[in-house]
Amino acid sequence: MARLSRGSTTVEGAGRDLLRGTLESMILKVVADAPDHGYGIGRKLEQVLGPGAMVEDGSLYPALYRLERRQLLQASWGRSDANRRARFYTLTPQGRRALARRTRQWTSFAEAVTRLLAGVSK
Amino acid sequence: MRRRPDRPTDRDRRQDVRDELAFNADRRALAGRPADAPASLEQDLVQLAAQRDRAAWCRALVAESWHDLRDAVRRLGRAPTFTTGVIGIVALGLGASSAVLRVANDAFLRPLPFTETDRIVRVQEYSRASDGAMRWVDGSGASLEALQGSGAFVAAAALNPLFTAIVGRDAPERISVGAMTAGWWTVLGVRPAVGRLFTPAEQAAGDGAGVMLISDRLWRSRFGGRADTIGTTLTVDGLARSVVGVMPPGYRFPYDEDAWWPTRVNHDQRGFFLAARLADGITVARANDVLDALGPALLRTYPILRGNLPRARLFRDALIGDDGRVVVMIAWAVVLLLLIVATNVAMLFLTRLVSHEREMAVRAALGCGRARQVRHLVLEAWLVFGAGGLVGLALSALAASALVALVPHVLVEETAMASVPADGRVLGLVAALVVICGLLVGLLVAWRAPRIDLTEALRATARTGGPAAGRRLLGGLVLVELALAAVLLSAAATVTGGLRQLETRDVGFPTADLLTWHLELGAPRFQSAAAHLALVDRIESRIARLAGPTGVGMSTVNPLCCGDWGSRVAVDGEPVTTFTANVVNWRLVTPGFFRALGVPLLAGRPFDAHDTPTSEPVAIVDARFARRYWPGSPAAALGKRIKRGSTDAPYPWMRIVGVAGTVEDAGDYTETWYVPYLQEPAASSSDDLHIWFRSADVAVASAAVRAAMRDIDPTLPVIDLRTMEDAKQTALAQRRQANGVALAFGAAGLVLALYGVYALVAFVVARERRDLAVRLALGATGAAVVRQVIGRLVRLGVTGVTIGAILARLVEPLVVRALGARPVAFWLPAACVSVLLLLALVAAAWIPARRVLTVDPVRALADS
Repeated sequence: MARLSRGSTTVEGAGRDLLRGTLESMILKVVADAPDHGYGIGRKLEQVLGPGAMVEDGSLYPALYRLERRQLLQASWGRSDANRRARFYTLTPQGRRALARRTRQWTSFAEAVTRLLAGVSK
Repeated sequence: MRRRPDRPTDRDRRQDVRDELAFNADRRALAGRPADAPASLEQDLVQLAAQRDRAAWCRALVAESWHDLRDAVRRLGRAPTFTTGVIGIVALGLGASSAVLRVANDAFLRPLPFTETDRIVRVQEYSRASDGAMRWVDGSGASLEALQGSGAFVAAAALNPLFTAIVGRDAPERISVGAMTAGWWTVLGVRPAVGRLFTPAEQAAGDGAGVMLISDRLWRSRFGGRADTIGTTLTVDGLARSVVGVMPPGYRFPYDEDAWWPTRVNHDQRGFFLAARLADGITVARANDVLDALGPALLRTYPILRGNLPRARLFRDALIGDDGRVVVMIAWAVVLLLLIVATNVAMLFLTRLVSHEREMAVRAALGCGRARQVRHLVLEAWLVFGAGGLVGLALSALAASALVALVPHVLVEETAMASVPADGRVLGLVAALVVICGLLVGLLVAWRAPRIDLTEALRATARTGGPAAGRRLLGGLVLVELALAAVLLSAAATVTGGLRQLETRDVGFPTADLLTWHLELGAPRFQSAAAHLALVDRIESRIARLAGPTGVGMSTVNPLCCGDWGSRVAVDGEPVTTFTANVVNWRLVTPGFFRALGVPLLAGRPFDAHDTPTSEPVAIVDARFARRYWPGSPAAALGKRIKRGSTDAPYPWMRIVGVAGTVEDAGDYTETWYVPYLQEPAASSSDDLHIWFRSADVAVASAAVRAAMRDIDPTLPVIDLRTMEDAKQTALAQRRQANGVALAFGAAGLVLALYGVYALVAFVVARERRDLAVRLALGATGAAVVRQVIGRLVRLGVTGVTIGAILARLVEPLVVRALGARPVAFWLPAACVSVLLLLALVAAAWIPARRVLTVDPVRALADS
């Protein structure tokens, strides 16, 4: 079970970058479905990742800020369901393009790995 | 209009981060999830947020600048006449500037043919004239010894510049040679491209070693660049010399040499080019302190110094000090022209701004901030200056080659300058000018912008004129422009006046059919007085056959162009007043000189064959000299005694036997005295011999001269065979070029100033249509209205031109000195220039002002 965390001990070396990039892609996807605040995004990610998965605030929020800096996300203060003041993240046009690109890259990568593994197992 | 967001502060960001994390913590608590954020998260997020804001701000700035730029291009594009006019003005100004910068760059900034230019110095000897000015003469062997013994230099060496001939199958070829002492190559740190330098043994043997280095140019022209040239023998200066090396391409330092050979010098010889390399840790100033401290001892030890002391200067300083004045002068002209250009552009921008008051007011009302408006103006100014600069650079490529001809000949030789490529430095300077001028114009115009009264401009659509402050500024710019144009034109008039004076003056004898050439007698076989006299005798008898009844004359100096000897003269019974007062041109002439040139003798007799070393020493003075000491009739000078140097100098007294008509000598001094070539022992110390005779058919006579000279001495090249008229014109060629440039600058200044005036009047007339129409309707005549418009400008013009004339008067002595000219009349040409400027001003104002006459009062009033 992957544990997405900053300074995680379960993921090493290059894999960490891969997972960090993956976290960003997943955030973009979640926000693309519906704008949400940080807490909501974290919970949705955990749902997608399955039971036992944990998305730590220590990696989620920096990722959100970095995406915002790169103009892939835009943040603004709004009202939550409980009518509380919360910072909502929405996808920018650039973010939409980046998500499409990352999806293509991930898909072709995954297919290649799948093909490779299938070949090896034969 | 897009606006850049305000930059959030650090406190705003921290508050936002806290709020966001607090919301997260509350939700977690509600859901019963433990908080898992590390303690440092808040700080990390604040940092990330700061990065985010910085990036956003930069992006906004870039986007806004890009937007502004496109906006500026669009606005300029909407006014094509304005834009083309301004770009044309700028191209003219920057084109002229960059052309001059290229030449100046080449003359002063081009690398010398050696490295470490801050360690290698040129040493010359100086004395101070009574007016405090330093006078420089080339170094002596004594100075060389002083340098070598001073401890301030690692090495010092002398180069003896010679002109000599290569003798082969063809006619003797004249070349420039440097004979240098040991250490020359150590000083410069230069090595041959092919072959080797001289060995210590060869250097010690001096001229007798029979070896030489040659230039790349001679190697290619004479040897076709063949590799087996090393070891080849060539007869130069009467001696067979073996080529040991070829210097790198372009190296012909210092006097455009084609060959170099070793020599040795004694402390009592002079006329050397001295170079030295500073010792480690010694500056030029320190080295000169050392030399100054040695001064008294040097003067005691070496009488040849004659009161002069050696002084070191970096090469570049030595060059600019002597010959760079013309280029410096042109650089000043460029600055003036650029000021006119900037004034003009500023004026055009202002008029445009005033006529766009409404647009500006609307923009301001829509929230276009003041800073933004200033940026717009500066951007527009940069755009037109940038475009003008590019066009100007293209123009300057054409002009620069013409300008090279202006650079003093000595400088061309010393830097081996032949062409002027534009290099990075010139481009950089032009770019800097673009930035500075654009900024100045933009800021000047923006400074005016706040005086636009917003409500007034919005309400009064067609109120008369611009606000008074704006009108005053425009008037001030016209004033500045006219003053600057007057300075440029007056300077041009000074240059032209000087040239006219030189072209039309009577040099003191007819020049058209007077044939001349000269010989250089530097070869060892001419070192004795007897050899000199024998040669003079042979030439006289042989050339006399070609010459008509006026015969042949010879001298050490060609008074119109070449060579310059001066000496102090002491007059018997007259106290010596100042150090320089008695220095006059000193000419050694043969008995036939006065008759051959046609210089009249106003009193007494010419020299004759009886004036020999054993007879009484005699002299002839010119009329100016005679008038100064013996006013009244020229005959009053006859029988008086004069001598070289001071009254106590070890030279004999000479009796004045004749007074000659004044010759306008190109030498440094205004008076001249003559002594007999056949009598004066100093004659044989001059390597130059100039010869003259008159001939009706110059072409035939020239061929005959060459044939005769081959008979007399086939190894002596005949140099500069031509008429004296040609010599006079050649000597003026550089002045003509200088004149051309001065006139071009003057004309450019005039055109620009007039254009500015024209544009301004056209603008004012357009603005004041309604006002004028009212007055026309009330019964004023059109002519009266036009007179009033022009009268206002003429008042401005008179002030501007007067200021200009006063400035020009201050500048004039500098122009005269830069050109080495004699003073010319100033006020008459300046008055002509002023009147010309004012007439042109009226004409430039009249053309647009005339439109007033066609104003239909009813229409104009209805329009408003």
